[in-house]
Amino acid sequence: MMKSTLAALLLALATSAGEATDAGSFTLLDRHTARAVTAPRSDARPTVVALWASDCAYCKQNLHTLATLAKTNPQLRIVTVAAELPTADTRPAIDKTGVKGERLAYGDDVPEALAYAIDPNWRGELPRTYLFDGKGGMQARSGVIDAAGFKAALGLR
Amino acid sequence: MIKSALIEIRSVLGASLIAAMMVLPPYTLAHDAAMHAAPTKAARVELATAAAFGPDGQLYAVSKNGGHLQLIRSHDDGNHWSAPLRVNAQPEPIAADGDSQPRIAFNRDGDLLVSWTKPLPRPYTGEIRLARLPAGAAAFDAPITVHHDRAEITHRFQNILASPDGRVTAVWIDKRDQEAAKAKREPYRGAAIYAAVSTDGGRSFAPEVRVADHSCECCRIAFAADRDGAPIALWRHVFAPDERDHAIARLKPDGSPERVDRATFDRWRVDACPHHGPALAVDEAGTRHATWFNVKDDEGRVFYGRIGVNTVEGQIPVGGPRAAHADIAIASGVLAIVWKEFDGEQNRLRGMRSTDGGRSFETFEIAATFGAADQPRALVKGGKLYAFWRQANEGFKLYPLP
Repeated sequence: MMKSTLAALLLALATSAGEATDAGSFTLLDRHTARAVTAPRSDARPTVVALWASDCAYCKQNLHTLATLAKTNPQLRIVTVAAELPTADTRPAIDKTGVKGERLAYGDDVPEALAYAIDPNWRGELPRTYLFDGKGGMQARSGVIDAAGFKAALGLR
Repeated sequence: MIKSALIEIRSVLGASLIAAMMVLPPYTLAHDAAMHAAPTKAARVELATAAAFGPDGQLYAVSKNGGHLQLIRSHDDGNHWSAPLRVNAQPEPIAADGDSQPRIAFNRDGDLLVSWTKPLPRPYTGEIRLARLPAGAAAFDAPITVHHDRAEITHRFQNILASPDGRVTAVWIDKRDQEAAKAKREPYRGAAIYAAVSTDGGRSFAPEVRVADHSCECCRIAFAADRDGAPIALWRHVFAPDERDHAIARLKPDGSPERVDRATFDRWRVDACPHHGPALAVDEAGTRHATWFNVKDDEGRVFYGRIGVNTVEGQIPVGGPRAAHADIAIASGVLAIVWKEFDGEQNRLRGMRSTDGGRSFETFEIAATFGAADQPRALVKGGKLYAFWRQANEGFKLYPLP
């Protein structure tokens, strides 16, 4: 059981990584993979899932803050989700913020279905951030979060 | 890749095997779905379409196709459409997604005016463009840029209104004041609303004027005629310190506001881009009927209400918790609201109507689609109400409302 579980997870991760696009190293989501983005996380690391778009200036503030926090908090896992099908502009937009970590983006599935799969309670406002504290807790927040806000929610330094 | 994934999984398993298994189903599903996914186009679909009935009774729709906007017309309420006519002969960048949508209007002479935002190279920047199809002409005149300010900054989210006195007014979101404040290292909330007026049917515009400081940055602006024809703009505003409610202003003939009033009082405190602007219709008595989205008491909802002087009358939620992008129109004493609502499987087009000025409503279903869909538009022709809805799968559709 354990062996097959591990094999399935490995295969799934390898598959999702294989769907990176020309427009940058984004793994594209469909409505099924999108459900995992905000699903409960089991690992003990604090994790931030940050939804953003290239047209959203407030999103870049959050990404920049996260990039700074990551320097002093190597245990912090950052997953970014571009709520748009990536174009040539998408990767430079996120590179400029300095944020690293796993980069996901909307694929060509129906955007309304992707948004619903990520979070049926999210109404499309950006930035939208999911904060996993690594102890089983999760908060969903809309809007700009300052460094103190991230630190408090995630137990960071 | 496999090696790093293995390390990840070991840490997962080390933390909790049970929890790791809970993470599994979505990934497993993902793999299955990838195997069975239907082929789809890889390009970003920009569905935002402007629609209106013309003075000739035809239905006009303007949408994006590559570097062009194109006009299609229908003699029979959307059952058949004309061949597309290019709005801009020379290709250029065009914003046509969500709240960033082309807008159309007919001036007093019956000329069709099409306006859009042309994104510029720097992020968030753009120009407001306008092209005119003279009544009876076979081609559009070359587009003009509406504003005199040519800085590469935000001029976006435009709307236009043609008044019975012949004036054409354009409004948009403009960041010149934000940029000026930034240069002086001073804080500035949000963006600003600017307006420009044409007295020659949209051939040229007088220098723009500021309507209000501190608008929200990326929501469509509602723009409707008062009963005397004067333009009324309703937009998402940023009230101090960060309340993203709405403001309303009736504009003078030069585009400047008579005054600016707070229109909604939901007190959504957030620094974010809702991408979810309001809609406005004025009835024969001058009552201002509006729909808007806000997060109120921690719940995001579309609302209907009558905008009074520093008060909202009869505020009620529209549709279910995922209702979005409502539009509103009034004809022959009937008030209609249409909106889209994703039900987990399909985008639904739903509506509600009131025959008592918004005191009571009945709700109805109009259409549904498994594909992506634009925001719906509420239209009026000959005293009758319609919903226009562009859908990725079904195309340009018109629905008569009950």
